[in-house]
Amino acid sequence: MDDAARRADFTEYVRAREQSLARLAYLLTGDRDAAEDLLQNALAKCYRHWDRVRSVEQPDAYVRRIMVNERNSRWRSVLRRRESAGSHVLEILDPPAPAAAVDRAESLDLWRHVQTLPAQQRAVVVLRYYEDLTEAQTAEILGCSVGTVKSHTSRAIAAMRLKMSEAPA
Amino acid sequence: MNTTDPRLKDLFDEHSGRVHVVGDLAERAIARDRANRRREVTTAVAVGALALAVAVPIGWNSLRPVTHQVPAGTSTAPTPAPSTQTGATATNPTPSTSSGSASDSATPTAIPTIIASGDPAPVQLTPATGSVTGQTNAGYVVDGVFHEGDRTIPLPDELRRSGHVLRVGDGLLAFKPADGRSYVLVDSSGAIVKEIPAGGVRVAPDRQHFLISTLGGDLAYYDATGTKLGQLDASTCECTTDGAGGGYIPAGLVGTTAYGVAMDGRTTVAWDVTTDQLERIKGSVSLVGPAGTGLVTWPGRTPQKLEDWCQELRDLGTGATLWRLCGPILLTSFSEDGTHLVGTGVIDGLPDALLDDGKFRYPSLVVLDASTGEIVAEGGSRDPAVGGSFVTAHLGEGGVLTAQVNGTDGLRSLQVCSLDGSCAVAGEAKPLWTADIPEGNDPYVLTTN
Repeated sequence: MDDAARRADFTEYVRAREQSLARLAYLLTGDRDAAEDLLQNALAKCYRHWDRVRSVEQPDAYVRRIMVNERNSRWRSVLRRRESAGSHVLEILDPPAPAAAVDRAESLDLWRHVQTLPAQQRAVVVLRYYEDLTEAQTAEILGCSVGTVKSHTSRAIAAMRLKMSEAPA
Repeated sequence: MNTTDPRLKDLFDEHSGRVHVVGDLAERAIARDRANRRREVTTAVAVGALALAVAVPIGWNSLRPVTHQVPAGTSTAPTPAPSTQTGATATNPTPSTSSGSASDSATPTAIPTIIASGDPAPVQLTPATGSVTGQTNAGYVVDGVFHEGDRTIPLPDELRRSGHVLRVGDGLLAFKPADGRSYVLVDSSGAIVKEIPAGGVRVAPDRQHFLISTLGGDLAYYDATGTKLGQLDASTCECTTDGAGGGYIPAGLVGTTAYGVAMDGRTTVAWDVTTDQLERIKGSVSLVGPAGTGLVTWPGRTPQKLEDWCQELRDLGTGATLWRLCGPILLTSFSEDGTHLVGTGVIDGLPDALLDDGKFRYPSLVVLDASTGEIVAEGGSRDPAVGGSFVTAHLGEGGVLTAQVNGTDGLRSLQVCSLDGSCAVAGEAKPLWTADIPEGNDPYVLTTN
């Protein structure tokens, strides 16, 4: 595949999958700048190895794996940038109007608690509950055992339940 | 089943539904890949088999795992002894066996070993602020024009944003960013002489010859006019990497001896370009100094302590190890006169064991005395997100350091510093070429030779 064809093929893939991948990036990070950076880096790596990625693996699985691994890396916090890109590729809309004030407050609390989870636990709950992946699929992406996925899930849920129960009514 | 499960699903659905792509993500990813390639060509050879990268001061860099385990030869583990005079803990010379030439029998030697534990260096370089008050004779490109003292060379449009420039003869060898797979030789007027497909380049100290790795992993030896004088086939490395085939990464060129690291990082070949005679050196020679010394790296796969992650300087002629430095410093170049080594402590991909509670132990610039391995100066922040980081640096003769510094405002200036700690602005602060991609795209491109 020559460069032009490779570029066109990659562009076609990204345009078809960008919303889904962008949403995953945002759930993993909870922040627009961080999500943009994570997503672009993952796709840049994907593009670098596009010939192999498209022929051997499911591109989605490859990109998901890169995003999760990078997000889980301690390096993300060490190298965190404080500056935003000049223009954005993602837009985060305001939350919809609350059905009830109590529901809204609870939802915000839960979202906050998700963001305090350790990176690995957060990745597990996002992959399991948003991406609807099985424990085995989640383990494959994280490069760990199914048992580890189970324990991360259980710890994450327990931590959030505890925090929600501690939250003032 | 607990009540948190459905709430989590609803929560994720709600928040993910707020996210919309409003820009050209594919185009941005392709541009970032291009920027990454530009940055990698300036560090790939230096990091060699380490498969690590200098972390970008204001960007989130990609995580690259250590992919090669370079054997530590037959050396014994160093025994730390307290001494903090040089910004690191020096050990007493430790009985060890050197791992010089692969064909050599192991010979007991005493190797002075320094444990770089994070102690501050004796001299701190502090970037200057304000207007231009300094001058540099180092070679660099800014706004598409190469500068070296009073001399300038306008670069062709396709090389204006090269990202990697080397001095060859009276001209330059510049990475071609459009394809990422070749270098272009230009003469002293800026006219293109030749385009050479290459993965990496090293230039001899006298700049009259250069060494490249072809895209197939061969080493090729050229003179300054772009005439190929010799070639070493990739198959001679007797190495393969993850099904990608074998070959070499050019490490250096001293006289008529060319050094190339085998792709598997286990050995380095010394190729006599006049006789085609080959000699194997154990380990990965990441840098070669003008006097024929070479920096050999042998990181462990999962180092659990500083002492497991070491580099050593060897006399490549005799195989003797002059000193060993263990700790989280990535050395990226020799000074022009070979008296010092320049590196950084801000390294992407370090294992936790080499971090200090999640933080780097050394800042963005570290300077070592090449004769002893002692850390003599450092500069910039240990936090790459903070302004004042040294992004790239070139140490000329007489200890004059020219560096590109990332300011608190995100702009990058050229600075000239002496190793006594004083710095002056030598080039006004400028923005990155592509503001949308925080990594790379430096406005000042210092030559790497």
